[in-house]
Amino acid sequence: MPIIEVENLSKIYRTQKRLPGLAGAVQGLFNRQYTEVRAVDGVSFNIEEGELVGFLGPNGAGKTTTLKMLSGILYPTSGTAKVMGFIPSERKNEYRRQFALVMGQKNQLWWDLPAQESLYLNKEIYGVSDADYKETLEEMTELLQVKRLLGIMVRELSLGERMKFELIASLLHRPRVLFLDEPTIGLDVVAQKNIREFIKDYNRRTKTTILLTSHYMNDIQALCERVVVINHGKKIFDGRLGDVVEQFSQSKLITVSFKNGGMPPEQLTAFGQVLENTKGKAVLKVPRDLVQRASNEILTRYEVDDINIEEVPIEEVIEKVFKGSETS
Amino acid sequence: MAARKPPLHKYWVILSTRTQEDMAYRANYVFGAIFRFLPLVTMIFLWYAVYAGRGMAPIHGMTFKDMIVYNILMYIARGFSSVPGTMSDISKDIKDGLLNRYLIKPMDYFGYQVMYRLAHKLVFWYIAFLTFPFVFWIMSVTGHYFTHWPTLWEWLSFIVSLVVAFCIGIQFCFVIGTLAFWFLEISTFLFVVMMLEFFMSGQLIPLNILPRALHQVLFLSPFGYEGYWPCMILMGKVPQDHLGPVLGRGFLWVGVFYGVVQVMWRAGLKRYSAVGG
Repeated sequence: MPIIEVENLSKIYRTQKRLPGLAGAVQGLFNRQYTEVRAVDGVSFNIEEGELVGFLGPNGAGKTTTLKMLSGILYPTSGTAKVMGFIPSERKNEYRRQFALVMGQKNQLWWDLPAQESLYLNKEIYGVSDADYKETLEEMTELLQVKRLLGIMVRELSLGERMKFELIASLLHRPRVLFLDEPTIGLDVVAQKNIREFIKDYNRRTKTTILLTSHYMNDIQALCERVVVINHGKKIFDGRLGDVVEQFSQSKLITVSFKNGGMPPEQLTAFGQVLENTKGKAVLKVPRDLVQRASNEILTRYEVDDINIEEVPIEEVIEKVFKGSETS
Repeated sequence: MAARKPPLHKYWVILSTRTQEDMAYRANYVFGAIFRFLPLVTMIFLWYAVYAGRGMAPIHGMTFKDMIVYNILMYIARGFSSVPGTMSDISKDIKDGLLNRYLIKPMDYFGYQVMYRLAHKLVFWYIAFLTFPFVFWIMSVTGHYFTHWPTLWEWLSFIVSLVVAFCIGIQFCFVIGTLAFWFLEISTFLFVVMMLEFFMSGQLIPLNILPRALHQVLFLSPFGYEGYWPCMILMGKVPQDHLGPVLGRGFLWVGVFYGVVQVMWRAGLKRYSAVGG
């Protein structure tokens, strides 16, 4: 039985529509007009216990709104969501003790106190026993290498260090379900990598179900086998990450190194779009169904040092998916 | 096996954490304690000018000395009922989506707010406890300001009235703060509300010297419990057989506010848009 069940979930916001400028502001005082925004529009998916699923979409696609409905912050306009058998919007304490939501840009740590005070407060709020708290804290501060920073004022920590403590604070009660909303946003590459590795290891060891949103494809590629893609509030893909490429990218890349210093571009365009052609090396974007024929012809016609066939980079495919262009 | 902690233990830890945070800035702490007295000094000069202008004649039975005692007791009572920053912080939590971080945790938002504010109040009460006996002693020795020594019942009723003052004061803040679910930006409104509360609690002028029709309405309002009634009780201006009904009405208001806060919270959350990523 899935641990997260989402069925036709929708959220409609009513927002004020205002004409530009001062005149618009004055008019708004007397005649206010509203418009409905469908932030999430009939989204359905199931997630099994222990899965680590990437939730992808451009800004404003409805990812965070979905996570907020799953964590009980928002009431859905229609449809249903069930997590561990609970209806999130009922906000039962029993449910709240079993999940965690980490938002990359929102801070739950007390700014003017050392991080250890916020962690202890969370321990008490979630009713974690002293022994479990000690064990978890020891383990996580060790893994994330922040043990020596426990006694430092939060405002004096770097963004990356604060994010690590945010993660620890959210995991103290050992949630069964973890919602991560842009956990690596704004971090440098080293901190991003640390957090990523920690999440991967945590999921592997504890079998915690994780739903992750991120703008960094590196995060998604490193962590998620399965992705759910949404855009304009609607689900447009749900499946293996590798399948996104197959479904949305109709091309592959052929990289050829020529023995005799390369070929004129006009000869190469016959095989596909020439992306690069310098110093005896050419990169061609070739329609998927013509790849075999093109590579055979290149090998037959020219003196080739090396040839390599690969998928179009995932970032590029996702970008096209987001833009609604499915012909690459 | 470790002893299981009581369910409300978490609220005690919130209070303790907030107290630690308050103490992180020592200078702010000390200045706050000292300069709290300034408005009180201003009020004393103001009333002296008023009484001097009428040859120190009593106003509606209140002598100048009564007025000084009233203002000092008002200072204590408002130390219980006034919870600065609560309305604006709650409305900001709602407007800016900061409420999210509380909604996902197994705790009550208002329970958290009570403890958070109470921690700050404890600091004030602690300072008041140390300084006020001295103030009272000076006043007794120098000018015999205290013409009435409270009875045991009056002392007890005064203490109960301070609890009522805190409960009404903070719950009123919750009511106004949660209006942000409907109106989002309420900062101008907050200023007007605080001015009205300042007047209706009797902090500016004792309610009994206002025109009769007005003071009869204000006697029934919850705001008198935020200042006027505690002062009158300790000054012996409430007959003993009226103490019960006066406090009873206070508790009734506490219950009414509790109900209103709960209803507004539930209705408000359905409108909450949880803005911000």
